[in-house]
Amino acid sequence: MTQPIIEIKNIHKKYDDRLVLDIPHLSFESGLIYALVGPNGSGKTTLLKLINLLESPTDGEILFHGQKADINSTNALELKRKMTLVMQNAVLFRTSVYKNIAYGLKLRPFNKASIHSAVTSALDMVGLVGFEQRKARKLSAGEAQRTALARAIVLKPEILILDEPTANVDRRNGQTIENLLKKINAEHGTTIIFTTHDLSQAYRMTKNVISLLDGKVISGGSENIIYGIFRQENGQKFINIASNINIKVNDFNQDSVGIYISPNNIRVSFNPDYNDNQNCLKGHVTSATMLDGNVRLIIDTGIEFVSLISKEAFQEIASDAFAKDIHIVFDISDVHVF
Amino acid sequence: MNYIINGFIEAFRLIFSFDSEVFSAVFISLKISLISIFLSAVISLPLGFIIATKSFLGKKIAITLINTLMATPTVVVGLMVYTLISRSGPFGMLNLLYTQKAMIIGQVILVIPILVGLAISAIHSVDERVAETAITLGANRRQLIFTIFLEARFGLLAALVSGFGRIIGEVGSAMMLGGNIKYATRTMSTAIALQTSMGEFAIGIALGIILLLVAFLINILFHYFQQK
Repeated sequence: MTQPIIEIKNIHKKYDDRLVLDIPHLSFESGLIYALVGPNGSGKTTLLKLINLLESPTDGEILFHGQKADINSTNALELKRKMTLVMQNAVLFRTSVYKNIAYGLKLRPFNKASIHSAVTSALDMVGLVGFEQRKARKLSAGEAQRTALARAIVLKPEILILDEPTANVDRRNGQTIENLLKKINAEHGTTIIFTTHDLSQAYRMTKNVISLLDGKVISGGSENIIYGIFRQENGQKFINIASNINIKVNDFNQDSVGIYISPNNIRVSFNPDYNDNQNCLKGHVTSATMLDGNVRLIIDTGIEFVSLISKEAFQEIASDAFAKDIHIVFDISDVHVF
Repeated sequence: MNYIINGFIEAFRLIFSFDSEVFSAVFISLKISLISIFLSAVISLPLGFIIATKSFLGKKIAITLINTLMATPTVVVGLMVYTLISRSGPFGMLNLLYTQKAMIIGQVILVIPILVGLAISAIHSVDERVAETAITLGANRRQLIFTIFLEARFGLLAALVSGFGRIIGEVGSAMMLGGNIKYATRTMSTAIALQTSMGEFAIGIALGIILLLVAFLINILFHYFQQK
């Protein structure tokens, strides 16, 4: 196995006394695309900042090509210049689009002619040819995000890190950015790590999806992501995920085909009591494992669901957990449609 | 009324005939103010940057003090420097009193709080993410500081313009420290004060017009840079 480009070992990150990140081990292979998914506050952005050496972990270490990286080390600048981070709502410098894109090259420094040709080609990649002299602060959100992207890719980094690259742009610009990232990855072998709220985007871009919840990596990023067909009967919206399994949902858009339910939001019970605002499915437990003081259950209802319950909750069902049929219950409002 | 009209006619004659007394005052004013603003900027801009970006004990008190000093009356600064450099003062042996150097010292002391105060707010107004962005794009420490100054350039330029406006028109300290000596330490503002008290309105009006013109030109330049 080749050495990972980034390896994270026993990282903890605390702000004051609040633990925001706790990752025993995580590695990224060179040349691949990684999507970090998870709700707000799950630690995605913090993880990106640690990888980009913008912040230090409280303890633990980050290795680049097997070499320890530290903000205060003498080679920190050299390492930082091998990667770049495009922030959510990227701020552009108060100057022209051209000078924004040329900024990182000038710092290194490159000569004028090579800067010009690199900037021109970056502008072409993001579809902003002709925008050179425009004031960066007067661009639309989509144009600004593409300028920020050009400003990063012009540096041809080994690792391109992006925080919610399509969060504030319209669908068309979002599509352009997705295609561009895939192209950069394919053409230059750039390792890309990006965060997103949008699971469907994560899976469109890569099979390497890492789920973060409360600062922890949830094993198997694809659990409880289920695809189906949208239906509507008597005013109730469903996603039909198997021949006889319908999941009630609140919201959807035209292209919705997938749902995601956080394992924390799925309760299990032998005698469920549930209301119209909840989904209830019958199945049986196929696996129960301890995970950081909780119990991770896999329940087969025809489709597998993962539920994360407390040790106490598990104790109530433990004696018959594998013997009897069991029900899983979750609120309609906890079903994320994408 | 006639003396006003005659004053204006005479003023324009003085301006267009490049009267030596008028233009000596203009030249001395510009020279002293430009040197003062340059020296103050060298001290104030880094100081403003440090205060704006670093956290230290007593930071709020320091900022309040600077804001208070921004309004220091010019005569108070004049008095302070005068006591230090007068013949019997601690720096009397340097023979600075009634020289352009003394006027520059006074103006620098006068303008430093203004430049520091306005530099702090100019640097505070730079989006916090600018620094982070510069680092992610590979800026080292020196390049980072330069980037922040560049982002704050309009605010900093406005600070310099305000500071220049404050010192080129001030009378109190210039009069006390320079002594209003013709062709040596007489500036536009001290000349206007003197000539008016002597009933010689023409030179006063001529210098007043030029002083306004200078202010006007500086503002035009400022707006030009702001729109770039």
